[in-house]
Amino acid sequence: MPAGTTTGDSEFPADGSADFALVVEAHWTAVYRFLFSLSGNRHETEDLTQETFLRALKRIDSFKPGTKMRSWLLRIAANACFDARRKQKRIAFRALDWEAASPEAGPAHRLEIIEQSRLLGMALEELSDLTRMVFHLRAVEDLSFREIASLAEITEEAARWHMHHARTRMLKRFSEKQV
Amino acid sequence: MDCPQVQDWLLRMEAVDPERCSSPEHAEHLRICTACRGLITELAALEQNWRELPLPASALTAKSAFLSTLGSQAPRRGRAASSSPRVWFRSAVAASLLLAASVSGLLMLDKSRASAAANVVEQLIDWNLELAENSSPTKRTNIYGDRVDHLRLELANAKLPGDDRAFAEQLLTNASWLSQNDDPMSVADRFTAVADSLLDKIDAARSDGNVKELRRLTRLYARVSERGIEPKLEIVLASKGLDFEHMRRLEKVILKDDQRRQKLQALLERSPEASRKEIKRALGLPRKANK
Repeated sequence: MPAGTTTGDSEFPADGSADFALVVEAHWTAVYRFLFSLSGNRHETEDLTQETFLRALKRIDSFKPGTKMRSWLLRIAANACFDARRKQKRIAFRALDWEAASPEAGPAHRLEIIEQSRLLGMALEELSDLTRMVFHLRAVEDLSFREIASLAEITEEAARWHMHHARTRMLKRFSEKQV
Repeated sequence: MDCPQVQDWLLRMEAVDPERCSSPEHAEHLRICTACRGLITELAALEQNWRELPLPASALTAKSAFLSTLGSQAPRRGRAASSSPRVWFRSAVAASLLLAASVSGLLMLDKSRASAAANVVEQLIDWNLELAENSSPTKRTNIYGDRVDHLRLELANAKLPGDDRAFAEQLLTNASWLSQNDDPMSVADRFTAVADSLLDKIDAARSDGNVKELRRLTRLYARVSERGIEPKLEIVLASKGLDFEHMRRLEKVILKDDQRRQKLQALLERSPEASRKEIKRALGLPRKANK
């Protein structure tokens, strides 16, 4: 890997697949979560996450040290998702098939998580792929609108609009459910 | 300062945090309005809920499985061979992008004019592509309905030269059509016309020595080609039993694409020697060994 490549916050000598394993450890969950927000489907997300890291491994020499590895990977992930969609005509977004990750969670807590995920999933299903992407990158990855615009290849103003739209729609969906 | 204004501002904020409010009017309104403060709480809770949702347990098993195979995945040097039969689409687009980035020693650009055209036209193109990529008629109707008024207003307020305005108006018309139609051949036709217009503008920008505009336009061109034309042609090519009319239209689109590719190649050949090496790398041609 290029000298000075960082995985998250730490530096390490660049040499071979062992180093890339550190990249996977540091960023797999974030990439998975991002792709899950786009597709809502576990199996497709697993495939796309693997595809993302395989692409990253092939292109690791093109990574510019000093820039954010996470943003670089998320851009590859977004492209992988959209490429797959173009080949399959669509990746139908389905309401998220979450399951409680912790088997120790009590029944009431698991039900609460399932209901919450159901509402969020339904709200997100109404949004376009790009709007979902912007929402996730802002709410979870804490990227600025400028960074999101660069990653998604849109203008900063468009990114801001998508976030406005996502927040509006989701709040409306949640308030309807509470009535 | 009323609630709808403040709430609209809150919904557009990067971080929904009244402590980071730069406007005294907004800050004063938030100090006294419980409804708007309530909105802040709701937005924060919404995003927090999303962040805290647990991932499927299979996420971690998939990671372990991938890591166990990682040792056999050797990083490959150079460019992987493309398996796409239409590598010439992407090669021409990639070449045009690096050409735009390599041109040097050119004239200053008209910032205000480029900025106005950039913002509105780019938004319109992205909107068109988003419509084309959604197969659901309901979603397309929503995407169209949600943005049409805003973009019409932006277009009305933008100071655009005649040809840019005509182009933007056409994109607006396209959006209306795309919201109601998804026949891949017809969609490819529409975006072919957009690509033709963009290529004319690329040529004009190169002639004017406008580097920034050249880069911006080649990015847009690549987007239109990769997302608006190629995927639709794939669908058409994959469908069986094309009638004569579809075959004729398909041939026209492919011919136009070939003509654009040749034009891009010609632009490429006019680039300085120093940039040709980078362009060859983008085209996947073998590099010379380092000395």
